[in-house]
Amino acid sequence: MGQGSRLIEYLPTVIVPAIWTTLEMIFVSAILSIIFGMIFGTVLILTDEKGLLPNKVIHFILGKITDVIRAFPTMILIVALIPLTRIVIGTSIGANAAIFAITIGCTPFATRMTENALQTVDSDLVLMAKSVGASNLQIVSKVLFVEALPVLVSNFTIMLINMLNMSAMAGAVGAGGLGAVALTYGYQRFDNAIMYFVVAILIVIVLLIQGLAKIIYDKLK
Amino acid sequence: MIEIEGLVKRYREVKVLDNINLKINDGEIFGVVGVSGVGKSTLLRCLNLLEQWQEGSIKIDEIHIKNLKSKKLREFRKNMGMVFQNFSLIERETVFQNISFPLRCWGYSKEEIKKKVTELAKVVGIEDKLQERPKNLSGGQKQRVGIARALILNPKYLLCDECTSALDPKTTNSILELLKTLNEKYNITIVVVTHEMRVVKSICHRMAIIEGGSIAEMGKVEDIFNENSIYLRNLTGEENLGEKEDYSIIKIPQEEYETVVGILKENKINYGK
Repeated sequence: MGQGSRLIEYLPTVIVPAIWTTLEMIFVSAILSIIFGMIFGTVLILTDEKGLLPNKVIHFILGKITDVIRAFPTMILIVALIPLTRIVIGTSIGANAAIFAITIGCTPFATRMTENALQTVDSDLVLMAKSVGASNLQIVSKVLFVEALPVLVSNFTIMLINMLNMSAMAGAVGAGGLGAVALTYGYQRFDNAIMYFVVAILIVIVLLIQGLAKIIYDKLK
Repeated sequence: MIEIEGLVKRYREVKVLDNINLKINDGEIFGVVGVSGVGKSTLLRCLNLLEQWQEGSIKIDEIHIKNLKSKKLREFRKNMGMVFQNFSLIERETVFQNISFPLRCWGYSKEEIKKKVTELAKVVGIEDKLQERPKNLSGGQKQRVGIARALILNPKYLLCDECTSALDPKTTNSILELLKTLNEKYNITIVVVTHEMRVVKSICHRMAIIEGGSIAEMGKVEDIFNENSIYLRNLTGEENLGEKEDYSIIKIPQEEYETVVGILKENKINYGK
């Protein structure tokens, strides 16, 4: 059988399910990373020396944990997390295990992205909010996040694309999804058609994420 | 009434405010003037506790404000509207949302918000701009939004931090006119921090000149301008204060004059005929 026909054979049975697995991994881990990242990023902003609730200890510890996790190369992080993944998820193989590893890997990224976006808000707006008697929670929710929303969307788009990259790497260590298909059915079986087809799908996903993010950004700006 | 006694504010070792003593009466427009970086905005921010200080006291309506915390501090700030130099508007929200921001923070109902914002927008003359975003407004309109937002909680005091510095002269006049009307009509006590002499001359009843973090001179505006003290001249530079242009205060010693002319000639600089 030729390579082209194998591609057609694997398309409904392997590739299409892998697309859904990849999208599931990205979607769930993106939501989790963004939630945790927004919480930790806000804590970093609040506890900063010039923040609303300055706290050197919390700021230092959280900042350092964030930096240490970010320093890990993706592949090494996923492998290093295998024991922890087994404890939390019960297995180190499959989409759920990958979601756990990607979430841990991307949360520090989302944290810094949130911190960076909130830093773009004019500090006078915080003073203005304080001057009308707004509480810290109101300043965060009604000023910082409102004003930083377009930058947040832009930053999280970069993170989503980074996640796609991570999910493909996770495929190499048993996560499934498009990365696994490209490696096992494409690269290891010398089936270039499958490999490049998967790459093409990844490109389309990236373009879709980028295009959608641009529309949302323009609407919000 | 605002009473400040012996106020000292330091940033690390530097004294930004040094022994400030002043009283601002209810219903007056008080100007705090000084060159940039002299501590006048810091003084203004002490009045609503956006800045803390190390020594001295501030009493507002007989209440020592230094130790106000959490809910009491928030309640206190409701009474101290503040207008900012760069407007400080939330760019992603409409004019309506910007003006209603304080009301939303204080949990007013939608009906109340709509009523109050519409009324106040008419007072400041931006009733037709309520659905616009700040980016579509002129500088003067933006500052009107800032003033409306500062007034929406019916404060007794209005603190204006260089509120006309980013505006052209014509717009400045219209904003000053608005502040004057607000003071006369609603008896709001206004504290204006500025480096623009014409702002003080146009609307203030009394003024204090800050130099090096201390009050160099204080009194009625007309008295200070009539005296034309050294502090006022330091502040205004070459600005013409009187009716006629009078450059007699600029006296260059003959020796210095000769040196300057010599340098100009040597460098072949033609400075006018």
